[in-house]
Amino acid sequence: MDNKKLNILPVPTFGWLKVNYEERENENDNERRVTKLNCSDGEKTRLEINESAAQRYELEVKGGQSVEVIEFITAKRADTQTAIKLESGARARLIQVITGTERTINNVRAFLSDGAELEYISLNIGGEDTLSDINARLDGRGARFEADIGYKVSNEGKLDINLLAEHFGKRTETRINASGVLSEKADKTFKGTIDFKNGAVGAKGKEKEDVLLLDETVRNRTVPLILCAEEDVEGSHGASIGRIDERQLFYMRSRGLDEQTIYKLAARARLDMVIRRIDDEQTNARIRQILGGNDDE
Amino acid sequence: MKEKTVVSDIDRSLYDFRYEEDESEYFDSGLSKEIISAISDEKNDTEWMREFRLKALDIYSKTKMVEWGPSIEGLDVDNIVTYIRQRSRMNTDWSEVPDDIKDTFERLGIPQAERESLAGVGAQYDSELVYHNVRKEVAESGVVYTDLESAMHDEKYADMIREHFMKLVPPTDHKFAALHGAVWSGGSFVYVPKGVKLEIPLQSYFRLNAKGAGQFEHTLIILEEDSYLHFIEGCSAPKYYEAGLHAGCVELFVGKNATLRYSTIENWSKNMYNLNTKRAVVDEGGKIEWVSGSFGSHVSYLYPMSILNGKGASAEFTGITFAGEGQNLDTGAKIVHNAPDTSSYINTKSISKSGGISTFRSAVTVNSNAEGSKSAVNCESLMLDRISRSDTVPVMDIKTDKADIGHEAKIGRISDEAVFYLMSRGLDEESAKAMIVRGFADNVSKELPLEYAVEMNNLIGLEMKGSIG
Amino acid sequence: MANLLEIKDLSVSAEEKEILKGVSLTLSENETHVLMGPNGAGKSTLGSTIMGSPEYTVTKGKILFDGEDITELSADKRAKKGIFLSFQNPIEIPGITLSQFLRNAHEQVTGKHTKLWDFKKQLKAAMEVLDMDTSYAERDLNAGFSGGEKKKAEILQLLILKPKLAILDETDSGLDVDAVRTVSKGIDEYKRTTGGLLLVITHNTKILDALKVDKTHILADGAIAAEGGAELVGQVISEGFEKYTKKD
Repeated sequence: MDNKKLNILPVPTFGWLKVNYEERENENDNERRVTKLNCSDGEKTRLEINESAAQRYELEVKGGQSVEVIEFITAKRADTQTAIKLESGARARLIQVITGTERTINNVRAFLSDGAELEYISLNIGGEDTLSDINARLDGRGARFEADIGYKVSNEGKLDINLLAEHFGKRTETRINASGVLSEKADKTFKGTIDFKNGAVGAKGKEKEDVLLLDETVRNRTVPLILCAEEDVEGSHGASIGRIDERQLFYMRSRGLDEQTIYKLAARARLDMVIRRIDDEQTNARIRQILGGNDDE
Repeated sequence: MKEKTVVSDIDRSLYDFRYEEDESEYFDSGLSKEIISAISDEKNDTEWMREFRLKALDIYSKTKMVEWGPSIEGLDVDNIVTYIRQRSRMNTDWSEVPDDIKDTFERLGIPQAERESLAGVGAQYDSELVYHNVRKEVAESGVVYTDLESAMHDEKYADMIREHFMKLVPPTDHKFAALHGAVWSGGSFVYVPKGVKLEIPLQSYFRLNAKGAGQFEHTLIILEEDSYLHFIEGCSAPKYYEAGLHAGCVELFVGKNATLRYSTIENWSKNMYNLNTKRAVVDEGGKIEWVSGSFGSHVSYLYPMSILNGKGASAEFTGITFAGEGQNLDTGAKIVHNAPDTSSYINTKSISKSGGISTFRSAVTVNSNAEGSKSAVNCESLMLDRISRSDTVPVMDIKTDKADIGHEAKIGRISDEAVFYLMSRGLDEESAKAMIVRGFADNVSKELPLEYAVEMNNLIGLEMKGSIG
Repeated sequence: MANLLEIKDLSVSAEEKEILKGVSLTLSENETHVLMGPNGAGKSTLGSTIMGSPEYTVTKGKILFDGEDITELSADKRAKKGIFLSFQNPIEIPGITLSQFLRNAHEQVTGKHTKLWDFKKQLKAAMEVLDMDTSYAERDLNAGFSGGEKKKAEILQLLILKPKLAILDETDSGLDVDAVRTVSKGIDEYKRTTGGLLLVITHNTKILDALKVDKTHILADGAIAAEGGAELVGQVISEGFEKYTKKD
């Protein structure tokens, strides 16, 4: 079978860094099963994606309505596309939990009209080889995109996330927060791009990644792009990679916590910040079960 | 498909040799072994250099252009020989120098004789004298500062040069490094012995008249243990060449506990493709400090690289890029942490105006042997209008947990309040904006020797002229 | 009374600059000590060094706690021995709630596992003493807390961890009158329930009004310039620190 380029970085850079794209075998391009999601206003839809088949979910949210979709992706070889179209003033929350998969190719495409809002929350825990490509096109005036991404990669796991927020509309806003923890030969790449197109007057974009590295076998690549073709915009990105900050470490130590406990707490904190936003008891209970421990909840 | 350029109208007399077709996979560049050998003859190359050039040519022909970065469509890569042969026409006529460059010299207050020299006119200019004076002073401390070509023929340095030449930037690095290896010409050689700390900066500025200097020049600097050098390359006045390609190469070897500061204000004329490669390797406890300003050229690819190879080595990169009309300046820095307790600090500013494109591109790599390393990247971009473009493309590749890596980037525009504040104190809008942009650029200007800082500020003032739409 | 904390000829530097120059202090169980001095005298350095901050290097002398040399111990080991430092600028820790953090700390310091329910009850009682809204327990530690809330959260930790020695570093600075009163109430509660040794670092006296001070130490230019009883506090208030500082 031929290879397919995936997770393509919107503006390529130095080839030797190997962040410009990923290549995977093209497994099932022909037979993609399409499901139209019929969600009524205020409804929560739960999808169990546990079959190793190519799937496509289509979601259209009418003006002023608000829906939530929770995708639990556990298929051995998952190949999932989620296409979202938000009409004026529509709101959607998409929650993706990717766990225990051997290989995941995950694709999210969202189109946001005037005043539409998309909240994207994803938790990547325990996939062996996960590729996630998320693209939000903020077309309408005042559209808003928020992304909270948490990950825990260990045990030779590979995770490549390519997230792109395209600002076309005036006064559109993006906030991207990614946080996670890597250990035991984990290999993670997070590519987050905020693209201010000409015409996106008054647009704002903020991106942050906070990665905790737990041992010397890991590899972390952080690629935060800001592309800008408009004057009146505000964009920023920040990243912090490595160990716990010295001052934080001393503070927690002074209250009696040893280094091991501090790292355990801090690793969990990076995921908890994302889990909290899920705000769905059933989903959170399942996540807690997968992650184990933490009876404080 | 690239178009073939008709070569008949170009005076090829100097390198007019029979061109032999090689294997089909070769990119036809109009460059042949014979042309390269002719360069070797002219320069009286040693045997190894002859071979080196030919090998580099071979690599050049087989190497593809990178798949990222600004377009070099306007560069006639199919007939690269036309850029090479332009060297012979360094002595152009002052009357042929474009008006905008003459105008810039005027506004920067550069004397007529110097202007002609900078424009490559090759008029008599006492820079040679100044240069020789500098040389006498530094020579007393055991420092060698000479042109690379003659140093190669000096038995005292021949081996040292052979040992270092294009070892840091091998011709296999990229297509234009290979081209450089084949056709390089002119440039500086600096050697600072152990323990010598040079108080005065060495300036390649004085050497612009050297034959062939500027277009494919090679700079090789070697600092021994515990030494210090500040090397200043170029100046803020535009260097004018008819030819549109600059593919220089800078190789810096920083010894144990030595510090090298390498400052450049590049202001190539706006028809240039600046495909320059700069690289430093730093030993234990040593430090490389880059101060870099990019103002000129039509297209630039420039990412000085620091390889921190010894424990505790450090790199600092302070840069500014100003892209105006018709310019696509892709600049940044590369850092490789390859030893424990190494640190790096990148601080850059970029400004885009009148349709100019600036891209900040960086790569910070922390290898698994670099425990205890720290890196902080800070880049800010300023958009002066809505027809320009500014991209930020950083990569951090971290392979150890025992590192502390921080990154911050911001993009925005001049605040209306700041302009209003200055205008309320009597400045007109243009001056107010120019003042704010100069303030934005102060990360670089405060790192430069005063006379260069002044020139850079003047340059920003010039670039800001007519910025009120 | 037995000596709990003994500091012997302690010299400390940070970034190769000497801050403390041969400080000696002896503090006994159940006492209340005040450490005063002008800005930059080294008061906070002394507090942080007793706690074991990696920012400071002990170049000479030692610190004994309960008769044991702790100079080389890490901060968590000192905390387990019963030392507590209330930070002047408490650190924000996003992602870990105050309750979660404190429960872990409590378990480590006491070496005992407390049932969640019992712990929450204890936490709630302590929060009431400090007029703290119980919702703070589920908020991320110090993240987005106001200055006053941060200081209260420090005293809350003091009440839960019940150390033998509590060092309060400028706990009253930047607080309004009501907040100082609340914080004082918390300190009083600590004194009353544990009888612990208190070392109060301050440069004003609001917080001292409610405390029965046993001994006062004046630190100037990195050395102890004067020592006395509670009366020294009043003297400093009326005369200032001028006579203790070197005139150049």
